[in-house]
Amino acid sequence: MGLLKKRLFCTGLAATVLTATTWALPQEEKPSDDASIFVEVLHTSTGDTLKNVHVTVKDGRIDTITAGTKAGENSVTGAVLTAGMIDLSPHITYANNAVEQTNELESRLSVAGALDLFSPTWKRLARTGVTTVLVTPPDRNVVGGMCAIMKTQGSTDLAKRQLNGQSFLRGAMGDAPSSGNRPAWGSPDSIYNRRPTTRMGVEWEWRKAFYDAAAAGEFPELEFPGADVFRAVLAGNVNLYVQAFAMLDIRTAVFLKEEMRDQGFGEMNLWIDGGSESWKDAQLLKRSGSGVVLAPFPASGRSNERSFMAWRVAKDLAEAGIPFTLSAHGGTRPGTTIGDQAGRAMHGGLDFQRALNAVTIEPARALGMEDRIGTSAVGKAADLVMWSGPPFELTSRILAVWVDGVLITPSTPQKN
Amino acid sequence: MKRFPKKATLALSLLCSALTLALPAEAGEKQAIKAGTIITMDGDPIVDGVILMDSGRIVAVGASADVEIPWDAEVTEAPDMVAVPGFVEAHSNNGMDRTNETIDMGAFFDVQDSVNPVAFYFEDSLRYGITTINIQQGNQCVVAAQGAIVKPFGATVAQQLVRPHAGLKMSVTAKRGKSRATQAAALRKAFGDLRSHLEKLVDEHKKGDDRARREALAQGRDYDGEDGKGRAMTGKGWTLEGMENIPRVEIDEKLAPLLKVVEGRMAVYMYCGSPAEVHTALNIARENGFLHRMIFVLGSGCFKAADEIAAAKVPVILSRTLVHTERDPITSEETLTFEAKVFQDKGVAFALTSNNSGLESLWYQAALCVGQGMARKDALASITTSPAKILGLENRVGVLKPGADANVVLYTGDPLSVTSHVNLVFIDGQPVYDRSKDVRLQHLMDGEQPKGTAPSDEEEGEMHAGEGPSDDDKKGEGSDSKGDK
Amino acid sequence: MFALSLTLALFAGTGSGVAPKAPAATTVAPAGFVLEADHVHTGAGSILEPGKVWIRNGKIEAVGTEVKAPDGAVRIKVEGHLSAGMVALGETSLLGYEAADTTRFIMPEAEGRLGFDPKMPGLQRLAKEGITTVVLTPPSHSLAAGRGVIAKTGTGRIVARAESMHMAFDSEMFKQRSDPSNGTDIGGGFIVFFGASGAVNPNGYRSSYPGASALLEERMADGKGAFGHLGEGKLRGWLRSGTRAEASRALSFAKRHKIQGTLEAGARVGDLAPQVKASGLGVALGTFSERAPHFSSQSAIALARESVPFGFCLNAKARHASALRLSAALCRKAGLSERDAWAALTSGAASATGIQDVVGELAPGRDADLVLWTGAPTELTSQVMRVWVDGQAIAGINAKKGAK
Repeated sequence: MGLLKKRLFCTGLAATVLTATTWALPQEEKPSDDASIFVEVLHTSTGDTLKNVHVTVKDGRIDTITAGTKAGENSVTGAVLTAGMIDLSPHITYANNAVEQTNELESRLSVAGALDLFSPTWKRLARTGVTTVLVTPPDRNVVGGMCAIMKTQGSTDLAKRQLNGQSFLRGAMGDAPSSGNRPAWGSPDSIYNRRPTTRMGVEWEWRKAFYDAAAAGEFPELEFPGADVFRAVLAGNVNLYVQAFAMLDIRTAVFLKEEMRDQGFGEMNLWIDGGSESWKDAQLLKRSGSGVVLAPFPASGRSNERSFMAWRVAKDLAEAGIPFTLSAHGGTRPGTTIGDQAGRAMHGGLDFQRALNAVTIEPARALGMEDRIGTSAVGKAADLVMWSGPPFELTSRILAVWVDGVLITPSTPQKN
Repeated sequence: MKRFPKKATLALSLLCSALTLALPAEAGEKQAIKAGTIITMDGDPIVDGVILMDSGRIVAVGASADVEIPWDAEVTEAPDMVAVPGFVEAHSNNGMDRTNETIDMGAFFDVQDSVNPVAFYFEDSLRYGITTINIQQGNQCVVAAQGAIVKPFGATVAQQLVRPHAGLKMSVTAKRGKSRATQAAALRKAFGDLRSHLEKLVDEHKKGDDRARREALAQGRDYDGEDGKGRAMTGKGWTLEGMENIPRVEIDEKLAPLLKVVEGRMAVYMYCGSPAEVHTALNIARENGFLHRMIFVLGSGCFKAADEIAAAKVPVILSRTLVHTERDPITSEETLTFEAKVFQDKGVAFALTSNNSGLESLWYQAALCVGQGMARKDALASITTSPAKILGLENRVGVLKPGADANVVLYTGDPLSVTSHVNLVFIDGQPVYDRSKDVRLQHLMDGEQPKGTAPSDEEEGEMHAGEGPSDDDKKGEGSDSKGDK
Repeated sequence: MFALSLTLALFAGTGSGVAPKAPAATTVAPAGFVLEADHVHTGAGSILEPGKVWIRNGKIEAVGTEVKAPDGAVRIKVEGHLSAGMVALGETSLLGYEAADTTRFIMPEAEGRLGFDPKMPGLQRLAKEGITTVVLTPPSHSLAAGRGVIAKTGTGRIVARAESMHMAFDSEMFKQRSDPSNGTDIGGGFIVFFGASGAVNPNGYRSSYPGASALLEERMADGKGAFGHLGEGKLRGWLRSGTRAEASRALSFAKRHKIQGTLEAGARVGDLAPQVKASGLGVALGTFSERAPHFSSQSAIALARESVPFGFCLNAKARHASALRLSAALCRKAGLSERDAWAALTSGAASATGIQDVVGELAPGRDADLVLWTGAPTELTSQVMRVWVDGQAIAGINAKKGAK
């Protein structure tokens, strides 16, 4: 028996050595999060524009910013540098199994549990200059659940990847919740034809949820699972993020907020996702204190749900002083990215600084993370985008993107 | 749609053209534009320049100090604007009734019979600076209609015409219901049928059978013109002895345009959707003697055959998809290729197309090219002088120099910038577009319903003719990879 | 191919134990029998040349170049290579249509052995390929579809211990064609319901990943029934996943609740090898993709490197039993050592499913499951000559090649 064991051991040892040497997979290396960058122009998103700037990054944060200087050794050089862009409506997870549809008012579950952090979509998105996103559940439900904040690159471990920031409860006001319904005749009643089929049904669900939650706050025996989230929304601790494109839906959302306030239930923080027709009544949004995440600009003006998105909408919102951001709905092809949306906003009359803010500092503020991201300043996370020319022009392209100081380059080699 | 006999159509076109020429010009004969910057595409840009136009042509371009403006010229002051030649759309399916016919061999069709002068597409072309369009049939064909080069302005097709019978459309890529092999066979068969027909005519003539003559007379064909006589067949691919005895009018009118192709008298726009089909197209073109007149209309991904195309010296018209995406099935790594650059580096003449879906027009394609690394002047050339040359209109369109058509576009700024708008457009020396009077654009920009017009609700669900991408663009081009895993 | 008419097993826990006809020489002698062969592959990486195996009462008594068997033991000399029988994992189809109950979304108490037919022809086919133990698990039509069955192929005997409770982390459960039925018509309008099982969703159906995960957490927190046993370590888990994201969620779940068991995973699970190691689960490597088999091979190498026990699933596209050895051969071609490849077919697969003390090696105390090959078992050209399961020679195996 001893001989057998010895043979086993020797063979095993030899085999282990053999295995080690025939190892084919690359070793897991932690990518460098230090960098040295030199650009001709730096737009800080705080209103400053610096020239001939050398930026150093250490441990994923911006370490130094020096204007009026030369490139360092081994600096990555380019024309223009801006902060990484932030998309609050990236449409990353849009499969139906990412939103729980057995309950029209699902307030407890988070879309984070459905994410595929291994998907190549993240890298594609990062290459378009998007460094942080607010992931939202698909709008098949009246209330879809909680959103999740994360960078477009990072650990594949959800616990390490998800960021702390402002909480958002996602919902929809228009056609979307009924779009997954099946015809009621000919098939048994199921969750797929129990949902509201009209806008008034959708609005009723919202209002009932808030009334019931407020009532349960006073009478604990009326408590139901998820009521606490609705109360947190009423208190303004959790933001309400409602998809609404047409003006009638935007109005519904705003009136809902005002009704809850008038009833004494609380002052909600309302953000509209889409807002295509917000140009029709910007003052309404202004007086309600709501924010808008603008949908991508369609060439013909025809936006989702039969709404009409005039090209001046971004300019109007800016002039009315309404907090707004731009979004690309996950566009990664040239012409559909978030940088291109900023360009289109400029085509509609928005000036460059405001366009830049709308994709950097404004969404950072909406996420409650303006202390960490959204501007190019010392101490902030090194989320940066390097351009070959003026940002947002079609004649410029993105040369490099840094997420937490880690460099991501486009797939094909580009000349600087 | 009524079908006119060929003779009548020709006569009608001639008559219309004559009428158009005879009509006095809408505005004054002489026009002058004083622009802040003039991009001529024929040398360096001119700052503070003048363009002089007379009777529809440019007579002078230069710095304002060098060009004297006649006292009777109408002057357009545009000190803050940038003048560029009107852009040239090298290949478009829009502006027609429907893009494809069903039969394989349709060389006798003519897009003039299908062009719709009031299509929204033409109005939109002006809005984004396009002044010359090569209208061809779609890609779902074997041999298809004769195209026409038009300008996007005119109340009738005749008024729009720049050049009729501008090339024959063909496809080497399988149309619906065909495979690659059967498509190539059908393409060869078309020429084979022509040859058989001509041989039959020659044969009958030898035997003294005058069936063809009797038929032609019965159909009322004109023996008095040029085509009433026979002439020897000339062709680089194949010829037929005895054709000098056959009056051209006796040739089956359905096959006659194909004979023009074989004799090198008509250009061919050959759609090729895959690099694997390039050699078939080149072979068929060589066999039938029209390689020197062929122009490729390419789908996405054909850059892989760029060497072959360069060796054959065939110019190419690129698709809207500028960047070709390929995903490695094993490593999942994506490779993006900017196709225009590949062709440029190999010395292949190329032009861009846009399908003009609103904002994503030719200027947009050129700007994206610059974004992908192409030099500015090359990008601008690919929407002006390069398509002009490919269409056989070199020095006529796409350039601002004496002798060229007076097609001028005035921009608020750099034509390739997102912040610029087209302000004014001149075609043949006539102002045809003014942004300050563009009601539809105001609606798009401001959202306000223009006074006196119907409310926008009625527009819901309507598809305007020519709006949106045609089926061929969706089918023929390689698609971007959309999968997640 | 596996169209079966199943009968319920009459004897709970042990299976019917109806043995096929056996040659006289092997079953009767109380002292058992000794197999002598020129090559005896005792376990991963070790070969006795020559060697002897003493088998008695269905178990291996001793293995060595010499064994101290009593005189009454019958000595049988065989020509060829002797090895332990192979262990195939994750087979869902042998349970047939009876395995997939879709009337409830969560039914952890269901027992697969009650739908198991020991006489099904599929088992015999597996035996012919040298597979002596098969781990059957229900398909993922439900979130928790019940317990699987671990059975011997030749005899149909169910291995009593270490059944696993299935839990789905893949997306099969969301693809139900028929909507879960309402049952009662509440009447008029639509219902707002807050909670897992209102009147409109009596089957507790969930339509999303977060919803399904929440339901699992709820049941673990309840601690009742099968989930309670799972949490206490009295029951093993079978966590089925497809994509890496699903595997990642399954591993977090297992680690959080200290679950012992097996992760059935897709081709790219190797990217998560450190996490798999940390979770303590074994792995059942799923179907090798035809287009990109290298992902599965790379995963096998990664798992071997982390010393994670793993085996191969039989759900290959061809659904043919020979696919098991093909999977190992593909991995070897990509660089997996012969020892690790053979382990994946035998002892590793057994460790991954908690039956390493029962099968997988030719060692004292293990069940007497042996296979006689024409050549080394890891060579694809080797063929099965004879198979013994629980000490009984299995009839109907090809005995043409010169065995006695």
